[in-house]
This record gives sequence, C-alpha cells and structure tokens, in this order.
Amino acid sequence: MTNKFMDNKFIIRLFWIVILGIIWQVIALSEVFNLTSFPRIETLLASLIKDILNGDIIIQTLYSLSLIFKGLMLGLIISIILSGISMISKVFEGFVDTVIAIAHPLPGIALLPLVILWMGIGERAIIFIIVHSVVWPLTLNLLAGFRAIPNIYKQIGKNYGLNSLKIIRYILVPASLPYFITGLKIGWARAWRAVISAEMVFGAAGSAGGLGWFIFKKRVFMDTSGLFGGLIVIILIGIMIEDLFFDKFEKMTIKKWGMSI
Amino acid sequence: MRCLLEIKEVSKSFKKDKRKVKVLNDVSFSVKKREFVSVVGPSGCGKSTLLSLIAGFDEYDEGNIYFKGEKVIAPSPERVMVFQDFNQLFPWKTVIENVLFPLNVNKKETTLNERKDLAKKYLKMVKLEGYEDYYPNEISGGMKQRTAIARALIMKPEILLMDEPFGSLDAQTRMQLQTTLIELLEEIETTIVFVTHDIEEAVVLSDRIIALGKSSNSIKDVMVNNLDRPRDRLSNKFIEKVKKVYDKIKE
Amino acid sequence: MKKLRIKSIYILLTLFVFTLSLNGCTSSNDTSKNKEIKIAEQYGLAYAPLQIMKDKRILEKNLPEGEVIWKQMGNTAAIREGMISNQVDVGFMAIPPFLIGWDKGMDWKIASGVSSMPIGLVTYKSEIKTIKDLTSEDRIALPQPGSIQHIMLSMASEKVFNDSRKFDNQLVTMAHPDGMNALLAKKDITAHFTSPPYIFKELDHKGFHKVLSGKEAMGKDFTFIIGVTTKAFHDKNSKGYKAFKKSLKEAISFINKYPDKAADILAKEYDLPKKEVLRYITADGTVYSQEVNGLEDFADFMKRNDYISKSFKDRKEILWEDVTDDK
Repeated sequence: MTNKFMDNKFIIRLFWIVILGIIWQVIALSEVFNLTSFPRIETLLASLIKDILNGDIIIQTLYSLSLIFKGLMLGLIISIILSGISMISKVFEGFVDTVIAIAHPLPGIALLPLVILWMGIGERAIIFIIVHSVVWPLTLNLLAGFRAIPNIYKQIGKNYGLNSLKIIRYILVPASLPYFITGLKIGWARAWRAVISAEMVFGAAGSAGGLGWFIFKKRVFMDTSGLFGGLIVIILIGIMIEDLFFDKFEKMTIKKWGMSI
Repeated sequence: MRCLLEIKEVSKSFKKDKRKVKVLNDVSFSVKKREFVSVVGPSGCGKSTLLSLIAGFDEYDEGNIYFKGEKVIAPSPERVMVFQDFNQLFPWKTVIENVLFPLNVNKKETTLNERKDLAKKYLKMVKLEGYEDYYPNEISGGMKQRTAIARALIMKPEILLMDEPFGSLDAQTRMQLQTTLIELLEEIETTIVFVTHDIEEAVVLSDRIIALGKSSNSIKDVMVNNLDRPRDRLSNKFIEKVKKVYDKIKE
Repeated sequence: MKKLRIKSIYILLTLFVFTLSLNGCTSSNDTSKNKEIKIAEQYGLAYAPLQIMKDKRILEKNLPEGEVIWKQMGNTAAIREGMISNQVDVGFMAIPPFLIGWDKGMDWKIASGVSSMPIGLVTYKSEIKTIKDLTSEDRIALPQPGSIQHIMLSMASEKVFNDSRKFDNQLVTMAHPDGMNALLAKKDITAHFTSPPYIFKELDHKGFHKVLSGKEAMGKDFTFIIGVTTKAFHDKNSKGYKAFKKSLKEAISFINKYPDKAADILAKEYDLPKKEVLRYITADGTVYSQEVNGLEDFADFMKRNDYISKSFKDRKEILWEDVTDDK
C-alpha cells in the first residue's frame, strides 16, 4: 500500500516535470524570447553536463552542502539548548521568547552587512547566516513540541522512577519528534535559500564559493544556460532532500507510529 | 493486620478562575493488602483526583496518606497507575518495547533476554500473544489498555491504581477486559484501587466499594462486596447489589 | 474522466504561459515606439559627463519631444540584463562586460567613449610592492568577475605569472564603497581593485599605496567607460540616438572647458567637497573623451583566455558607424 503510493507520487512528479519541460521547449523554440535568455532544453542539459564533467558544479555544490551541514548542526545544538532552558526556567522562557520575536522576522540576507562588520567575510559569516535561518524556526517548533507532549507521559515517567534527565532523554525527545522534524524541514529550506543568497553576495571563500557563487559567475559572464544548470541542481537537491530524505525518515518514524501532526 | 494504604482526613481543592473549588473533603479509608477496592461516584466527585493523590502526582492540602506506614510525597514504582487514556502507551515503541520500558530504564539486574521473557509472560497474561511487534497505532483500544496493564504489572507494584481504565471502551470489549483482570488476580498478588463510574464494573470486580458523593465531595458509604466469585452478572444477588450501590450514590 | 481533467489542466497551463510571454513581447514593442530614452549608468566619477547632462538637462534641450529616464544601477550585469529585456536603451559600462555580452549574441554596439580613469589595485600592506608579493592568503576585492578590474588583474597575472587565473579563487565581489570600507578596516581584504573617487580616497590614507595601475596591466592607455546602445534603439529612434550623442559631446566639452563649474555641479551630485572633486576630475590619467581606445587589446586577451569565444575582425562589428576611431 505504502509502496504503491510512493511509486504513484514519483510518477506524478515525473509526469509534471516532463510536461513543464515540453512547455519550456515549445516557448524556447518559438523564440518569443531571445535564445540567450531562454535557452532550449538540450542547450541547458549540455551545459549542465559540461559543468558536471569538469567538476566545477560538483565541487561548488558539495561546498554549499558542507556549509549547510555545519550550520544545521550548530543551529540544532543551539535550538536544543534554547528550548531546553526554556522548558526548565520561566525566566529563560520569556527571554528566549523575546529573542525569537526580535530575530525570527529578520531575513538572513538583511543581516549580511552587519555580519560582515562583525565577523568579516567568508565561511564564518555564511555559517552565521545559516544558523540564524535555522535556529528560530527550529526552536519555535521544539518548544511547541515540548508543550504539546501529554502530561500523562511525564506522569508515567515519574511513576516508573525516572529522573528529569531520563524523562527528557526517553520521553520528551521522542515524543516531540514530529515537531522536531517539521522544524528541521523549515530550517533546512531556509538554510538552503540563505546559503545560496549569501554566496551570491560574497566572493569565492577559499577554494570554492558554493553554488550561489557558481550562479553569480554564470550571470556576470552571461552564461545563461550555465546559470540554469545551477538552478537545476538547486531544484534537484531540494527534491532529493524533501522527497527522499525527509519523506523516508518520516515514513520510518512518525508516520509509522501515527504521530504526524 | 496493618493496612497497606491509609487515607486519613484528606482534603484537596483546585484554583479555578481565582476561586478555590474543593474536590475532596475529609476523605478517610484504608486498603488492606491484596484487597480490590473500587471507588465509585458521579463525574466531578473527585475520585480521579483521589487516585492521583495516592499515586503522588499531586499534593493534598490537608490530612495524610500513608503507604506501608510512610507518608506519600512523590510517585513511586511501588504504586503504578493505569490511565483511561489510550495515549498512555508511547507511540514510538512497539507493544513489547512499551512493556519493557519500565524494566529497561530502571536497569534491574537482569539480562535483556530475561527481561524480554518476562515481558512476553505478562503479554500472555493479558492475552496479547502475537502482538509483541505491533505499534500502538496498529492495535485497538482494548489491546492498548491490555498493554498498559502488562506494562504496569511488570513492575510488580505493591498497589495498582486504575483510573477508569476501561472507561473509553465499548461494552463488549470492556467486559472482556474485566474478565481478563479477574483472571489476572488469581495469578498475581497485588492490591488494586480501581476508580470507575460504572457500578456494574465495580460490583463485578471488587471486594469493597467506596461511594463518593458529588455535592459533599466526601465518602457517602463503604460497602463490602462478598458475592461469590466468579460473579454472575445475571444472578439476582448481583443485580440487587448493583441496585444497592446505585441507591447509595444517587443524590 | 481523469485523463480529460489532466488534459484540460495542461491546455490551461500552456495558454497561461503563452499569454504571459505575449504580454512580455507587446509591452517591449510599445516602449520602443515611444519617444522615451532609458539610460542606465553607475556610480562614480567616470560617469561625470552623464551627471552634467542630467543636471543641465542637455538631452532634454536637444530632444524636446522625448522623455528621458535615468536609472542608476548597482552593477554592469543588471544594466546588461535591462538592455536584453528592452528596459534600457543606453547603458554605460567598461569594455570587457560589453564584449562578453556581444560574444553571447547581444544585439548592441558601442556608441561612444566616455572616460579614461586611473584605476588600480590598492593595498595597505607595506610588504606588498607588486602583485608578485600577494600570497594565496590575500583576498582581493573587486566589483565582480568579468569586470574591467578583474580583466586587468588577469592581464597583469598573465604577464607576471603566465597564469591569468592565478587570483581567481581569491576574489571577493564587492561594490566599490563596500570594498573601500573593507580595505580601510584592514581586516579581511588585502587589496582592492577600484576606480575614482574611491581609489583617491584610499590613497589619501597613510600607508595605502598602488600595487598595480590599469595602464601597467594593459601596457597602454585605454577607455574605461563606454556608452552602448541596443540595435533596437539605434535603428528605430535615430533622432534620439543622435541627440544623445550630441548631448554627451556637449557634456564632455563642458567638463573639459569649465572644470571649475563642472566641479560645482558634481560636488552636489556626489556629495563631496568641491575642492576634492576638482582635484579628481583634473587628476593625471583622468580624461573625458568620446574616443574609444584599447578594444583590440581587451578582445585579444579575453579571447586568448576564454572569457569570450570570438573576436571581431572589423571594428564596425562592435562600433556604430559614427563612432570616433582611436589612434
């Protein structure tokens, strides 16, 4: 049953991608737009394959992903600490709540000029922006998750003689998993956008500048099909993470357990 | 014989909209070892609160609760609660993992295999053989409550506190679980305080029935129930008993 | 049933996209019929004649029936994209970005030179005397890859190291003011390839010195900023085109004849002290002229190093018929 659904979803995706591709090709061939700004599909694919073969796009993508990974991990740790102390102390809860209210609406890219002033340019600043995009939605979701845990779980924990730490470890953490996954999904999506935008503003940081820098370079050298290649990679990675990673993970956990929110 | 559980002049009130609302007023009774005591009464009479005070989840305002001669101040694995809520099982654990949970976290000096054998034994007692690897969302409400009972019993508690455990089940399933519980009592030595609003259930299960009144929030009567076991719900004596209890709590 | 629904959605979607594209098409046609002239420039002293033209309303005088729309844009790529989508008729930029666009098939040609400027690479590190002293740790700020600053740095590294891409992984893309602030902070940026007035301001600070000048990189004088127009504008609005060229000529000769008066106007535009502006526009290496110099040198270098795929055989391929030839 589940397998069939997965196949269906995959087929639906593929179907619409093909349709969109056909529409694209029809518009390109009609030459309503200049072919430089609206290249044909085969030109796009040829350019993408060229960039894959010379390794450039792969190196840049891996670099961007490594930045995201670092930022996500750091954001995760900070979120757990922030939501943890909020659960323990009322004073901190107010503090964390206020910080989120201030910081959450700020787009990471708007902070960029300030971040450059504080920590200079390069990897650290980009990671800072990623952490900023991840921490607030994740903390909000973790807090919502902790608050949504039925009181009965805590009572059961106490009843079976668990101390506070064990209650957190064995009960609160798994019980808030659905919220945690939602937070992580939002965090990932924001981090991915943040890293691309930040890389487009910065130059090459060290040996690679990331996918954003790749796209920026394609823009300034007017390599439109190369630019689309970068966009295709962004889309593919987005679909892979959303459809494959998160979907699989949810199916293995909260969907199997009937816990999805 | 000394009593296992003594409740002495216990009162408890909650704050509601800045007003104090008394839910228990000067309640006293005691429970002997291996006794099955039911607490009946209409909703709002404070019977669930009473159970939660005995479990140690809540603090009482006045009076004392003694368990094995010591004042109850916190929850303890010696007094295990079974709730009405089907959600009392952890959804991320299978049936057997749920039953194993109290043993695993308390790291009793046994091997995992020994613990698993024990869990299987208790699951067999509650008639859940073959359902060990199901997740809670894959089994029925009745099966969930059976799992919860097995999880409570595996701790070998001195006293089992049951807060309307069959209250959300349909009539037929409820009767099946009552039968299972009666059979269990022959195999395990435990004391039970059982809260219910179902008088027939109280009469079928318990040795003594405590009736709580809603308006007074205190004990209206304590009735000994010494009908012969197994009890026949259709016998005249049974029906009379039910009627008697019903008359007592009627206000 | 289901198939039918999918089919109708498909048709709707196609129609939707087509309507969108048609709309885009008609609106761009409309604007070229109009008597509007849309001019895009950037910030800096190299664009001074345009400020004069704007302030003294020279183009309005030469083209009474037209409407002039000025746009100041953040970078060359934006101007180029504006010209592709017909949102800009006349754009100002350096020769390399123009050649990249021409190579990629953009239908545009050079209408005029505007200025030559003493651009260069500035550092605060005393141990860096030439680009040979730059290490792989040093980060170099410049407007963007493919900009004239980048191409000149590449020209110099080709000469010195026989490797035009040597510094490509050490570049940091920054607009001139940001790059200047970063350099003055002496933190992340070792060197800044920039143009007036920023280069003058940086060099005014103690210890800041020029490592490389544009002239050294190129080996000769070259035109820094040129004016480019789309074929659509040049062909369909020849009156506007001529008026624009005439106005630019007047503005340039005004600066050259009356630098003092020009400095008055520019001081206001750039929000700088007049004395400073006067010093900048009369500085050695600052030339306002309609001549276009260095086309072949840029094209040869960029072709040799794969920044462009083709070069021009005849200057007429990239210059409109009336453009002043260089010497």
